[in-house]
Amino acid sequence: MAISALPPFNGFFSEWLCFQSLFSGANLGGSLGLTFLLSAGFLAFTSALAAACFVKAFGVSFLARTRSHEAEHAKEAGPAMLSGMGILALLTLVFGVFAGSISGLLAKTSLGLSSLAGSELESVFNFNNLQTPQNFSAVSAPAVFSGLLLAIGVVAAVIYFITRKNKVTANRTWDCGHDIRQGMEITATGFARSIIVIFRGLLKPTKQTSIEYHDDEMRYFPKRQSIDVGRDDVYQHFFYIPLKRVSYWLSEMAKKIQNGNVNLYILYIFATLIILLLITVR
Amino acid sequence: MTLAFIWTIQIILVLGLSPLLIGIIKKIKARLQSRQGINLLQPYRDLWKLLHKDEVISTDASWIFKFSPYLIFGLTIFLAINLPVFARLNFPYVGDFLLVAYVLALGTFFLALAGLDIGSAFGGFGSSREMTLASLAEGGLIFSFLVLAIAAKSTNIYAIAGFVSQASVFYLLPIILAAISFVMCLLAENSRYPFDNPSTHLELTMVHEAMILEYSGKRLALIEWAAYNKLFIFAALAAGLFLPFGLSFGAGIFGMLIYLAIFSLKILFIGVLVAVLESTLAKFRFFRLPDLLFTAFILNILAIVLIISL
Repeated sequence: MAISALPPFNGFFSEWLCFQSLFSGANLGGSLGLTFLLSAGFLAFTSALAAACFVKAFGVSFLARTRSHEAEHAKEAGPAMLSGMGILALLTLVFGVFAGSISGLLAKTSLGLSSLAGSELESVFNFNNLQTPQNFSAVSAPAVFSGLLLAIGVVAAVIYFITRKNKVTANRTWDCGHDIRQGMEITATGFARSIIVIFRGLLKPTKQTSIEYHDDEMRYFPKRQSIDVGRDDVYQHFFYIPLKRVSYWLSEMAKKIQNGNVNLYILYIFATLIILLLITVR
Repeated sequence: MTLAFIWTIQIILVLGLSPLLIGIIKKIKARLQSRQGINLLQPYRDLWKLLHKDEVISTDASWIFKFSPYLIFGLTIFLAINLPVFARLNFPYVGDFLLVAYVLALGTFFLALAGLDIGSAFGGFGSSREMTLASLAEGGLIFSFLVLAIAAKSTNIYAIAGFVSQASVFYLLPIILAAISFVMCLLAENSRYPFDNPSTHLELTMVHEAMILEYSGKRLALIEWAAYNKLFIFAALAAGLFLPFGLSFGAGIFGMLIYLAIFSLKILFIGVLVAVLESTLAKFRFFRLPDLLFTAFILNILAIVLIISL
C-alpha cells in the first residue's frame, strides 16, 4: 500500500509533494510549464498502474487457493523473521502519519545545498501538516490517518450492533456448479494481460500457440495444447541490446588494429610521434 | 462547532440520500425502456433486508475479504467530509483533491484484493478489469481537478468551488472541457455504461459485480451502499465544482435550507444526466474503453493549456 502511494502511508505523502512541485512548475506557463504538466500526467498514470501491479503481486501470491503442493504446506516464519519485516512495515505507517515532521527534518539537510539556499522549502513543512506556499494546497497527515481510522471504526461498531444476531457460515466459493479448482484462479499473467493488450504498441507482447492432435488427418481431438506468452523488456529491446551491439562493433574494430604484434605497436608509436611532430612544427 | 455540525450534515446527506439517487436513476432508466420500474425507495429496502440476512463466507477467504467492506464504507464517510457542499467553509486541511482521488483509489485497491481473495474465476477477472480501468481513469480524474486547481490557484476543493462560482467568462471553455472529462471518469469509476453494466449479474463482461459476487448479508449491504455513496460523492463533486450556483445565500437556518434545496436539485440533474447517458449509450468493447479515457485526459490537457495561455 505504501508503494502504491495510498493514504495514509508514506508513499502517498511523498507522491503528494511530488505532485505539488510539478503543479507549481506547471504554473510557470509556457513550454516549461507544459513539460511539468506532462510529467504530472505521467505520474498520475504510473501511480495508478503501481496500484494495479501490487494488487496483482499481493493477490496472486498471498490470497485465494494455493497452486502447488509446497505452497499448501507453507508455514508462517518465526517471530524474528516476522519482526524484521514488521518493523519496516510499521515505519511506512509512522513516516506517513508524521510526514510533516519527518520531511521538515529532511528539508533541513537539503537547505544546506547551495542551489536550494533561499528557497521556500521551510514554509512547506510545519508540524505534521504539509502546506505549500501561497496557500496552494495543504494536507494534514495525522488528520487523514485518524479520520480514516475513526470512520472505519464507527462503521464496524454500528454494523456489529445491527447485525449481532445474524449467523455467519463458511462454505465453498460458488462457481457455476462446478468444483472449483486451483487452476481456475486468475494468474499473474492473466491479471496483467488487459493492461499489456492496451499498451501493446509499446510493450510488444508475443504469443505462440501450438496444438498436437490425436490424429493429424482429422483435426478435431487435440491431444495437447500449449500457449506461450512472452513480453520483451522494452528497455532491453530498444536500449541495452543496441548499446551492446555498438560496443561489440567498436571492440571488433579495435581488435583489427590491436592484434598483439609488438612490431606493429612500435609502428603506431612511431606514426603518432611523426604526426605530433608535424603538428608542433607547423 | 459549526465545522462538526456541517460535517454531520454532509455525512447524513451522503449516506441518507445516496440510495434515493440510485432509485431515481433506476426509475428513469426503466421509464426510458417503457417499463414501470421499481419504487424509488427500493434501494433502502434492499439494504435493510441485506443487513438482516445471514451471511455465507467462502472458506478460501482471508481477513482482507472480511475487512474490505468496512474499509470501503468507511472511506465513503471520510470522503463525505471532503465534499464541497458548503463552499463557504474554509478549513485548509480538509478537501485536498489529491487526497480525494487517492482515497478513492484506496477503496478500489481493497475491492480488487477482495475480488481476488475468494479464488473464483469471476472475482479475479473482475479485479483485473477494475484495476485496468481504474489505472486509466485516475489520470483523467486527477487532471479534471487540476484544470480547476490551476485556474483557482489552489488544490483545495472548497477554494476551487468558490473560485468557479465567480469565474470570469474566459474560463468557461476550459471548465466545460474539464466537466466533460469528469463525467467520463464518473461513469468509469462507478462502473456504469459504457464501461460496465451496473444491473448485470453473471454476464462475462461484468466488472464491479464480478468482484462482489461472493459477498452476502451485511457485507454485501455495506459494499452496495458504499457503491451508492461513491456515485453520490461523484455527483456532489460535480455539482460543487462544475455547477456552483446559489452558494451566496445568507447564513442561518433559512439560507441553509434554500441552499440544500438547490444542492438537491443539482444532484437530481446529475442523476438524470447519468440515467439518460446510460440509456442512450451501448456498452463499449473492453479494449475500446482506453480510447475514451485517454480522450478525457487529452481534453483536460487542452483545458489546462487554455488556462495557462489566458
